[in-house]
Amino acid sequence: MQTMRLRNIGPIRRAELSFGDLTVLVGPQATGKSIALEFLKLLIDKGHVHQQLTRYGIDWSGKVDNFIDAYFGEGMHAIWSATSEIARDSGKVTMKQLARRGRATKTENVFMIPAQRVLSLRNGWPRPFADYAPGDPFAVRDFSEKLRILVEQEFGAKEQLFPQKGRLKEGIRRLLVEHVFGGFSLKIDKVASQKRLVLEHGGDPLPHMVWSAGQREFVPLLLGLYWLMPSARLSRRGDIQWVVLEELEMGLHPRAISAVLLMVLDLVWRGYKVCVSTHATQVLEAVWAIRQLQEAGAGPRSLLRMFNAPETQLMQGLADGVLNKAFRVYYFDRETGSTSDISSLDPDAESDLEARWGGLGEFSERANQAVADAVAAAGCSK
Amino acid sequence: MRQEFRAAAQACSVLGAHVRHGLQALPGVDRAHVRAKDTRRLAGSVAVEAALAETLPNSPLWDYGVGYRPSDNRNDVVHWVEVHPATDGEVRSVEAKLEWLIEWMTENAAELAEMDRRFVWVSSGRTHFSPTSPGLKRLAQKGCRHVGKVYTIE
Repeated sequence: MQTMRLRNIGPIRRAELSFGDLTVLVGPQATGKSIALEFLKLLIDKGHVHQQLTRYGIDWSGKVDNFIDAYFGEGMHAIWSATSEIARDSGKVTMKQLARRGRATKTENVFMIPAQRVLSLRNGWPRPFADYAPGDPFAVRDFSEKLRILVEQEFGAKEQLFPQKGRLKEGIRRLLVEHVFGGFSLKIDKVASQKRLVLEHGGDPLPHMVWSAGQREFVPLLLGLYWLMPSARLSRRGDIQWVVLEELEMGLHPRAISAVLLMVLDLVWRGYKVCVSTHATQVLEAVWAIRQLQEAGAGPRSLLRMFNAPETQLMQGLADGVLNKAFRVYYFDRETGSTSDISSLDPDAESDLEARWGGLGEFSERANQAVADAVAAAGCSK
Repeated sequence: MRQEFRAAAQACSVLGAHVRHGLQALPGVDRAHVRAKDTRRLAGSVAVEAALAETLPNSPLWDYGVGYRPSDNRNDVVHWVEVHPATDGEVRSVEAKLEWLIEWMTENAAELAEMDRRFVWVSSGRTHFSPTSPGLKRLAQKGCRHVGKVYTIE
């Protein structure tokens, strides 16, 4: 799928997205970014979504409203009206078609890491699909179930999950050790035969409840990325071609965001098409810089320096690959309900939205103006 | 008494002969980077660099001063405009120009130095830094801000 068009769906009046290797969605809260990303998954993975819902006892009886509530979450059927439309490259798709039971399939092409990922762990262990309330969104239930399968089937009873040789590139591991885990390791532990994830430093296990907010946010994300990067040798998992990551910055310090961004670029380098939503200026700053480096014909070292990443051969290969990828940025506007392509992020652009990065660069500019004008006035010799 | 840009600039022996109407002190290539929200409020302009290039060839000369009468009709405000390449590496160079201008004005153009003012850096070509650049913060602390490729005086 190259393009997706949405009309009159929830807060969206008119959204037109043409996907790059990395596509970034920005815009104020509740402007439809998540709805767009969830539709991306539904359009591509309808058979898988149906299969999962049916498997866990959800019966929407072919009804559109019931299906929307089952997929997007309770009460969300209100986003769809008689004027709503959705289309992909090949043309319009009706909601009836999406809700109608077709061939259920295990094949899944889109892996979605939802914004509510922190809910996927309870007492330090991933919650199964059926552990959620019937009205909870499919995206969080499905993600949680995948984490459960990962830790139960791919790791041993007492295994160290992070850092682990062979999982993630060494250069990225090093940044995560330093900026996210602060020297702690992530392990599977047992208390009275009950398995749980713990952080460990110097022999004492720290249970989920005492982790920092950032660590609680990051561990589900890390496990999701483990799912997508099975080993250093295998570049992709199964049939997955797309990765959707909502609000990658959640709970993280800018240095940790930088490490996560590098992991996102690793996904792009592996050939996944990645879509992220964000409220972090840092993400757009990275995209802007990569586009500038591309235009300047810069080498991989420039990119690695930006991330303060080690210049190993593997990391240089990653950076080199990334510099040949296509990046797109879309702004979701609350006033008009439409999307704007602001991919150039050009500070000189005629469009204010583009020059000010959909509002993400606005505060910095106003802060500079307030300070500069005050200092200039204070310096008058009168 | 109301402070007027034209009178203040003409009171400076070096700049006096270089004061022009509107934005006429700016050559066409640089004038394309500066606009006024209300051109009737423009109180004149002066090309500082052109006026001092011969006498101070080795100094980091600032480009232009533009006078503008604000909507409340109080004192004119002087918009000191530097049209300059916009890369992080050039922040130091603009800082040096700013320091020179303030020092020179204090010693040689007392009436201009007393007026309300803005110091702005306009990109002469493409802008090659992001809005969050620490260099821009450093410059703001000294009283100057970067405004992109076009500066609209208002």
